[in-house]
Amino acid sequence: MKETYTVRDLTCMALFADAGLAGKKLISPLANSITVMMHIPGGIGTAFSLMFLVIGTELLDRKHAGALMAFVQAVIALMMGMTGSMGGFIVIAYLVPGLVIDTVHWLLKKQDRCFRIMEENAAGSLAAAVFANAMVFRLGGTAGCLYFSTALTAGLSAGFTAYLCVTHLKKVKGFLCVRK
Amino acid sequence: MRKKIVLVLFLAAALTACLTLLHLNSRKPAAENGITVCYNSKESIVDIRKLNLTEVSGTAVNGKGEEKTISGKGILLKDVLTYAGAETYEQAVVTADDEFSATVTAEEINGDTVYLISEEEEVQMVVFGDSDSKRRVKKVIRIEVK
Repeated sequence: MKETYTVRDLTCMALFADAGLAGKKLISPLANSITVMMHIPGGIGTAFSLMFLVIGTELLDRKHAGALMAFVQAVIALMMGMTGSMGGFIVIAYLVPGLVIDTVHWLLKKQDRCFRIMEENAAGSLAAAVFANAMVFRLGGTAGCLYFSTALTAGLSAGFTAYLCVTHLKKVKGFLCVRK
Repeated sequence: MRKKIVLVLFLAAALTACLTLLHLNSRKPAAENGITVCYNSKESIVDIRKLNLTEVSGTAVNGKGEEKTISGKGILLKDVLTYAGAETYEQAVVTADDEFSATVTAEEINGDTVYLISEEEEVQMVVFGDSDSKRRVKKVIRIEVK
Protein backbone atom coordinates (compact mmCIF):
# COMPACT_ATOMS: atom_id res chain seq x y z
CA MET A 1 0.00 0.00 0.00
CA LYS A 2 1.58 3.27 -1.12
CA GLU A 3 1.26 6.57 0.64
CA THR A 4 1.79 8.98 -2.23
CA TYR A 5 -0.86 9.98 -4.74
CA THR A 6 -0.32 10.81 -8.39
CA VAL A 7 -2.59 13.18 -10.29
CA ARG A 8 -4.10 10.14 -12.00
CA ASP A 9 -4.85 8.58 -8.62
CA LEU A 10 -6.58 11.73 -7.42
CA THR A 11 -8.57 12.00 -10.66
CA CYS A 12 -9.71 8.38 -10.31
CA MET A 13 -10.67 8.97 -6.70
CA ALA A 14 -12.72 12.04 -7.64
CA LEU A 15 -14.49 9.97 -10.32
CA PHE A 16 -15.28 7.14 -7.90
CA ALA A 17 -16.53 9.61 -5.29
CA ASP A 18 -18.83 11.24 -7.89
CA ALA A 19 -19.99 7.84 -9.14
CA GLY A 20 -20.89 6.88 -5.56
CA LEU A 21 -23.05 9.97 -5.09
CA ALA A 22 -24.69 9.60 -8.50
CA GLY A 23 -25.24 5.88 -7.89
CA LYS A 24 -26.96 6.62 -4.61
CA LYS A 25 -29.34 9.04 -6.32
CA LEU A 26 -30.06 6.50 -9.06
CA ILE A 27 -30.76 3.58 -6.76
CA SER A 28 -32.70 5.61 -4.17
CA PRO A 29 -36.19 5.14 -5.71
CA LEU A 30 -35.77 1.35 -5.88
CA ALA A 31 -34.09 1.16 -2.46
CA ASN A 32 -36.82 3.31 -0.89
CA SER A 33 -39.59 1.19 -2.37
CA ILE A 34 -38.06 -1.87 -0.69
CA THR A 35 -37.49 -0.21 2.69
CA VAL A 36 -41.00 1.30 2.68
CA MET A 37 -42.38 -2.25 2.38
CA MET A 38 -40.16 -3.29 5.30
CA HIS A 39 -41.23 -0.22 7.32
CA ILE A 40 -37.68 0.91 8.02
CA PRO A 41 -36.14 4.27 7.10
CA GLY A 42 -33.35 3.08 4.77
CA GLY A 43 -30.14 1.07 4.69
CA ILE A 44 -29.85 -0.06 1.08
CA GLY A 45 -28.89 3.01 -0.96
CA THR A 46 -25.79 3.79 1.13
CA ALA A 47 -24.43 0.26 0.66
CA PHE A 48 -24.50 0.67 -3.12
CA SER A 49 -23.03 4.16 -2.87
CA LEU A 50 -20.14 2.76 -0.83
CA MET A 51 -19.53 0.13 -3.51
CA PHE A 52 -17.74 2.75 -5.62
CA LEU A 53 -15.51 3.72 -2.69
CA VAL A 54 -14.62 0.07 -2.18
CA ILE A 55 -13.82 -0.37 -5.89
CA GLY A 56 -11.64 2.74 -5.74
CA THR A 57 -9.85 1.60 -2.58
CA GLU A 58 -9.17 -1.85 -4.07
CA LEU A 59 -8.01 -0.62 -7.46
CA LEU A 60 -5.81 2.20 -6.19
CA ASP A 61 -4.52 0.44 -3.07
CA ARG A 62 -3.49 3.75 -1.52
CA LYS A 63 -3.36 4.60 2.15
CA HIS A 64 -6.46 6.54 3.30
CA ALA A 65 -7.98 6.39 -0.21
CA GLY A 66 -11.42 5.43 1.16
CA ALA A 67 -11.45 8.24 3.71
CA LEU A 68 -10.31 10.77 1.12
CA MET A 69 -13.02 9.74 -1.36
CA ALA A 70 -15.59 9.79 1.45
CA PHE A 71 -14.47 13.30 2.40
CA VAL A 72 -14.84 14.44 -1.22
CA GLN A 73 -18.34 12.95 -1.24
CA ALA A 74 -19.16 14.75 2.01
CA VAL A 75 -17.99 18.12 0.66
CA ILE A 76 -19.98 17.64 -2.57
CA ALA A 77 -23.07 16.54 -0.61
CA LEU A 78 -22.74 19.56 1.67
CA MET A 79 -22.29 21.95 -1.25
CA MET A 80 -25.25 20.51 -3.17
CA GLY A 81 -27.51 20.47 -0.13
CA MET A 82 -27.81 16.67 -0.10
CA THR A 83 -27.69 16.58 3.67
CA GLY A 84 -30.99 14.87 4.49
CA SER A 85 -31.83 15.17 8.17
CA MET A 86 -28.20 15.25 9.29
CA GLY A 87 -27.27 18.85 8.51
CA GLY A 88 -23.58 19.54 9.19
CA PHE A 89 -23.08 16.05 10.60
CA ILE A 90 -23.23 14.76 7.04
CA VAL A 91 -19.44 15.24 6.86
CA ILE A 92 -18.93 12.71 9.67
CA ALA A 93 -21.69 10.49 8.27
CA TYR A 94 -19.75 10.17 5.00
CA LEU A 95 -16.32 10.05 6.60
CA VAL A 96 -17.05 7.22 9.05
CA PRO A 97 -17.72 4.52 6.38
CA GLY A 98 -14.68 5.71 4.43
CA LEU A 99 -12.45 5.27 7.48
CA VAL A 100 -14.01 1.86 8.17
CA ILE A 101 -13.37 0.74 4.56
CA ASP A 102 -9.72 1.82 4.88
CA THR A 103 -9.34 0.02 8.21
CA VAL A 104 -10.87 -3.24 6.96
CA HIS A 105 -8.79 -3.01 3.77
CA TRP A 106 -5.64 -2.63 5.85
CA LEU A 107 -6.56 -5.28 8.44
CA LEU A 108 -7.61 -7.95 5.93
CA LYS A 109 -4.85 -7.28 3.43
CA LYS A 110 -3.83 -10.92 3.35
CA GLN A 111 -7.34 -12.36 3.14
CA ASP A 112 -8.96 -13.61 -0.06
CA ARG A 113 -9.85 -10.60 -2.22
CA CYS A 114 -13.51 -11.47 -2.67
CA PHE A 115 -14.26 -11.78 1.04
CA ARG A 116 -12.15 -8.73 1.83
CA ILE A 117 -14.12 -6.58 -0.61
CA MET A 118 -17.43 -7.94 0.67
CA GLU A 119 -16.36 -7.29 4.26
CA GLU A 120 -15.15 -3.77 3.42
CA ASN A 121 -18.50 -2.91 1.87
CA ALA A 122 -20.52 -4.59 4.62
CA ALA A 123 -18.52 -2.95 7.41
CA GLY A 124 -18.77 0.47 5.76
CA SER A 125 -22.50 0.06 5.24
CA LEU A 126 -23.02 -1.10 8.82
CA ALA A 127 -20.96 1.80 10.18
CA ALA A 128 -23.06 4.26 8.16
CA ALA A 129 -26.25 2.65 9.47
CA VAL A 130 -25.06 2.75 13.09
CA PHE A 131 -24.11 6.43 12.76
CA ALA A 132 -27.42 7.36 11.08
CA ASN A 133 -29.34 5.47 13.74
CA ALA A 134 -27.46 7.17 16.56
CA MET A 135 -27.87 10.61 15.02
CA VAL A 136 -31.31 10.54 13.43
CA PHE A 137 -33.50 7.46 13.50
CA ARG A 138 -32.92 6.16 17.05
CA LEU A 139 -34.54 2.84 16.18
CA GLY A 140 -34.51 0.17 18.83
CA GLY A 141 -35.67 -3.42 19.19
CA THR A 142 -36.65 -5.38 16.12
CA ALA A 143 -36.81 -2.30 13.89
CA GLY A 144 -33.21 -1.41 14.80
CA CYS A 145 -31.98 -4.98 14.27
CA LEU A 146 -33.77 -5.15 10.91
CA TYR A 147 -32.28 -1.81 9.85
CA PHE A 148 -28.74 -3.04 10.65
CA SER A 149 -29.36 -6.43 9.09
CA THR A 150 -30.64 -4.79 5.89
CA ALA A 151 -27.55 -2.58 5.77
CA LEU A 152 -25.34 -5.64 6.29
CA THR A 153 -27.04 -7.71 3.58
CA ALA A 154 -27.04 -4.80 1.12
CA GLY A 155 -23.38 -4.19 1.99
CA LEU A 156 -22.44 -7.82 1.32
CA SER A 157 -24.38 -7.87 -1.97
CA ALA A 158 -22.87 -4.57 -3.09
CA GLY A 159 -19.48 -5.89 -1.99
CA PHE A 160 -19.85 -8.94 -4.22
CA THR A 161 -20.80 -6.64 -7.12
CA ALA A 162 -17.74 -4.54 -6.29
CA TYR A 163 -15.58 -7.68 -6.41
CA LEU A 164 -16.92 -8.55 -9.89
CA CYS A 165 -16.23 -4.97 -11.04
CA VAL A 166 -12.70 -4.99 -9.58
CA THR A 167 -11.93 -8.38 -11.18
CA HIS A 168 -13.09 -7.20 -14.59
CA LEU A 169 -11.43 -3.79 -14.34
CA LYS A 170 -8.10 -5.36 -13.38
CA LYS A 171 -8.20 -7.34 -16.61
CA VAL A 172 -8.52 -4.18 -18.66
CA LYS A 173 -5.03 -3.38 -19.83
CA GLY A 174 -3.92 0.07 -18.80
CA PHE A 175 -7.17 0.85 -17.02
CA LEU A 176 -6.67 4.10 -15.15
CA CYS A 177 -3.99 3.52 -12.50
CA VAL A 178 -4.67 -0.09 -11.60
CA ARG A 179 -1.91 -1.95 -9.81
CA LYS A 180 -1.94 -5.71 -10.15
CA MET B 1 -15.11 -20.33 -2.87
CA ARG B 2 -18.31 -19.73 -4.85
CA LYS B 3 -20.22 -21.92 -2.39
CA LYS B 4 -18.88 -19.91 0.54
CA ILE B 5 -19.94 -16.62 -1.06
CA VAL B 6 -23.42 -17.94 -1.85
CA LEU B 7 -23.70 -19.27 1.72
CA VAL B 8 -22.70 -15.93 3.27
CA LEU B 9 -25.13 -14.00 1.07
CA PHE B 10 -27.88 -16.54 1.71
CA LEU B 11 -27.38 -16.39 5.50
CA ALA B 12 -27.44 -12.59 5.49
CA ALA B 13 -30.58 -12.54 3.33
CA ALA B 14 -32.22 -15.20 5.53
CA LEU B 15 -31.45 -13.18 8.68
CA THR B 16 -32.96 -10.07 7.09
CA ALA B 17 -36.02 -12.03 5.93
CA CYS B 18 -36.57 -13.47 9.44
CA LEU B 19 -36.19 -10.04 11.04
CA THR B 20 -38.57 -8.54 8.45
CA LEU B 21 -41.23 -11.11 9.33
CA LEU B 22 -40.65 -10.54 13.03
CA HIS B 23 -40.79 -6.77 12.62
CA LEU B 24 -43.92 -6.81 10.45
CA ASN B 25 -45.71 -9.12 12.86
CA SER B 26 -44.65 -7.30 16.03
CA ARG B 27 -45.20 -3.69 14.93
CA LYS B 28 -48.47 -2.00 15.65
CA PRO B 29 -50.17 -1.58 12.26
CA ALA B 30 -51.25 1.86 11.15
CA ALA B 31 -54.93 2.54 11.59
CA GLU B 32 -56.61 2.78 8.21
CA ASN B 33 -58.67 5.83 9.00
CA GLY B 34 -56.51 7.92 11.26
CA ILE B 35 -53.72 8.26 13.80
CA THR B 36 -53.51 5.99 16.83
CA VAL B 37 -53.17 7.99 20.04
CA CYS B 38 -51.94 5.99 23.05
CA TYR B 39 -52.66 7.55 26.43
CA ASN B 40 -52.79 5.81 29.83
CA SER B 41 -52.45 2.42 28.06
CA LYS B 42 -55.63 3.13 26.08
CA GLU B 43 -55.64 3.53 22.34
CA SER B 44 -57.95 5.74 20.36
CA ILE B 45 -58.01 6.50 16.67
CA VAL B 46 -58.25 10.11 15.59
CA ASP B 47 -58.98 11.05 11.99
CA ILE B 48 -57.69 14.61 11.89
CA ARG B 49 -59.44 15.24 8.56
CA LYS B 50 -62.72 15.08 10.42
CA LEU B 51 -61.59 17.66 12.97
CA ASN B 52 -61.70 21.40 12.52
CA LEU B 53 -58.69 21.95 10.24
CA THR B 54 -57.56 25.50 9.62
CA GLU B 55 -55.12 27.03 7.19
CA VAL B 56 -51.75 27.12 8.98
CA SER B 57 -48.43 28.56 7.86
CA GLY B 58 -45.02 28.94 9.45
CA THR B 59 -41.31 28.36 9.02
CA ALA B 60 -39.18 25.37 9.92
CA VAL B 61 -35.55 24.54 9.21
CA ASN B 62 -35.00 21.81 6.63
CA GLY B 63 -32.09 19.34 6.43
CA LYS B 64 -29.98 21.85 4.50
CA GLY B 65 -30.28 24.33 7.37
CA GLU B 66 -32.48 26.62 5.29
CA GLU B 67 -35.67 28.15 6.62
CA LYS B 68 -38.63 26.84 4.69
CA THR B 69 -42.19 28.07 4.76
CA ILE B 70 -44.68 25.28 5.34
CA SER B 71 -48.36 25.81 4.85
CA GLY B 72 -51.43 23.65 4.58
CA LYS B 73 -54.54 22.56 6.37
CA GLY B 74 -53.68 21.52 9.88
CA ILE B 75 -54.51 21.41 13.54
CA LEU B 76 -52.59 21.97 16.76
CA LEU B 77 -51.24 18.74 18.26
CA LYS B 78 -52.62 20.02 21.59
CA ASP B 79 -56.15 19.96 20.15
CA VAL B 80 -55.71 16.42 18.81
CA LEU B 81 -54.50 15.21 22.21
CA THR B 82 -57.41 16.93 23.94
CA TYR B 83 -59.81 15.29 21.45
CA ALA B 84 -58.23 11.90 22.26
CA GLY B 85 -58.78 12.53 25.96
CA ALA B 86 -55.18 13.22 26.94
CA GLU B 87 -55.21 15.96 29.54
CA THR B 88 -52.00 15.84 31.53
CA TYR B 89 -48.73 14.76 29.96
CA GLU B 90 -45.04 15.53 29.94
CA GLN B 91 -44.22 14.62 26.36
CA ALA B 92 -45.53 12.99 23.21
CA VAL B 93 -43.62 10.64 20.94
CA VAL B 94 -44.78 11.00 17.35
CA THR B 95 -43.96 7.98 15.17
CA ALA B 96 -43.96 7.65 11.39
CA ASP B 97 -44.83 4.64 9.24
CA ASP B 98 -41.11 3.76 8.90
CA GLU B 99 -40.66 3.84 12.71
CA PHE B 100 -38.86 7.19 12.62
CA SER B 101 -39.97 9.12 15.70
CA ALA B 102 -39.60 12.51 17.34
CA THR B 103 -40.39 13.71 20.83
CA VAL B 104 -42.13 16.97 21.66
CA THR B 105 -42.45 18.23 25.20
CA ALA B 106 -45.65 19.43 26.88
CA GLU B 107 -44.16 22.94 26.95
CA GLU B 108 -43.73 22.89 23.17
CA ILE B 109 -47.17 21.36 22.62
CA ASN B 110 -48.82 24.00 24.77
CA GLY B 111 -46.70 26.70 23.13
CA ASP B 112 -48.92 26.37 20.04
CA THR B 113 -46.08 25.64 17.65
CA VAL B 114 -46.62 21.91 17.10
CA TYR B 115 -49.03 21.17 14.27
CA LEU B 116 -50.32 18.12 12.46
CA ILE B 117 -50.75 19.01 8.79
CA SER B 118 -52.92 16.93 6.51
CA GLU B 119 -51.46 16.34 3.05
CA GLU B 120 -53.48 14.21 0.64
CA GLU B 121 -53.41 10.72 2.22
CA GLU B 122 -50.80 11.41 4.91
CA VAL B 123 -50.27 13.52 7.98
CA GLN B 124 -47.04 15.22 8.97
CA MET B 125 -45.97 16.82 12.23
CA VAL B 126 -44.23 20.18 12.04
CA VAL B 127 -42.74 22.19 14.88
CA PHE B 128 -42.82 25.76 13.63
CA GLY B 129 -39.74 27.81 14.47
CA ASP B 130 -37.81 24.65 15.41
CA SER B 131 -34.14 24.55 14.45
CA ASP B 132 -34.06 20.74 14.59
CA SER B 133 -35.07 19.44 11.16
CA LYS B 134 -35.19 15.90 12.53
CA ARG B 135 -38.44 16.66 14.32
CA ARG B 136 -40.44 16.98 11.13
CA VAL B 137 -42.20 13.64 10.95
CA LYS B 138 -43.91 12.59 7.74
CA LYS B 139 -46.56 9.86 7.47
CA VAL B 140 -47.48 10.03 11.16
CA ILE B 141 -49.26 6.85 12.29
CA ARG B 142 -48.96 6.87 16.07
CA ILE B 143 -48.69 9.31 18.97
CA GLU B 144 -47.69 8.01 22.38
CA VAL B 145 -48.57 10.42 25.14
CA LYS B 146 -46.47 10.07 28.27
